[in-house]
Amino acid sequence: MTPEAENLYKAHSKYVYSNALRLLRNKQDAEDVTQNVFIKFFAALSSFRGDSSVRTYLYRIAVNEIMDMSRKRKVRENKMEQVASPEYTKPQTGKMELDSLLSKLDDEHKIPILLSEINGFTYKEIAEILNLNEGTVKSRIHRGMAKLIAAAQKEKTK
Amino acid sequence: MTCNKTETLLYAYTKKFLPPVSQKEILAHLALCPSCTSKYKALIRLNGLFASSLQAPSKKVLHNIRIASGDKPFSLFRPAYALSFSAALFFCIFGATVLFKTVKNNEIKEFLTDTYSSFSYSDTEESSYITEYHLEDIGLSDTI
Repeated sequence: MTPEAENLYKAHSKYVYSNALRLLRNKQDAEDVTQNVFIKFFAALSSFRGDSSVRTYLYRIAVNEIMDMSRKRKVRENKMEQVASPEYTKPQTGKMELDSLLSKLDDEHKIPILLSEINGFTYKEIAEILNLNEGTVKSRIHRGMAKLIAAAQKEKTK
Repeated sequence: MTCNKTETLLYAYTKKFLPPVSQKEILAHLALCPSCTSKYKALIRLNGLFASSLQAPSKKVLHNIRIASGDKPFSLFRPAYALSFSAALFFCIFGATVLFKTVKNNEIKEFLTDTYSSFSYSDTEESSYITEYHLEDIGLSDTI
């Protein structure tokens, strides 16, 4: 592993991991995803054509991996016929509150919000990562945030 | 500015995406509207939750990536190391054995030479015969 690759890992691993953890709500799955994302990213970096920025490219791989893991987990849980409920990682208080609020959103709204809020991507970059129109991204973020605000207000009044 | 419009622009307002005029209009509305202020406060709280949700993965992840990228962790049980270690051990034992044997032979030789040289034989041939005879007896005749 080259020093450049290590630097890339140090700069982005916590963002990739945090996104995965918020979406999958399982530490082990989030670590597996982070590992796979960087292995794929470093392997593909030599053939990277430079159509988008390296950062956008990395998060495109990350989103695909997270969605893939989410699908695999659904299959796994269905196979188990929900005999036992899945063991979600018990997060700390603040994170638990955020997870509880985010659970009210579907992935379609959750992913652009996380990319915007955790990673600080612009609408244009998120559109590039998710292969969507900028307008669609904007409307999904606004709709999702409105739902989150309403849920946060409800939680506070409880 | 109406509540509906403020709600729509609230997210952009917190991100400071809006032009200065709109930012001022929303600020003025928030000062007068408790309902929108409550939403604004909820949004600020959410921003705080997102900001504090950043977590680093465990060191195990980087270790696994390094291995997958071809960086082998140091291990004494890798074939090259094991072979080198065996060869070094063999030469050490062999060298020690040879050295020990040579030292012992020299000691015995010196002992015998000292012993027989103390006898007052005038005939040197007999003296050398006795030395050779005794060395032959203990298997060291070649060493002289």
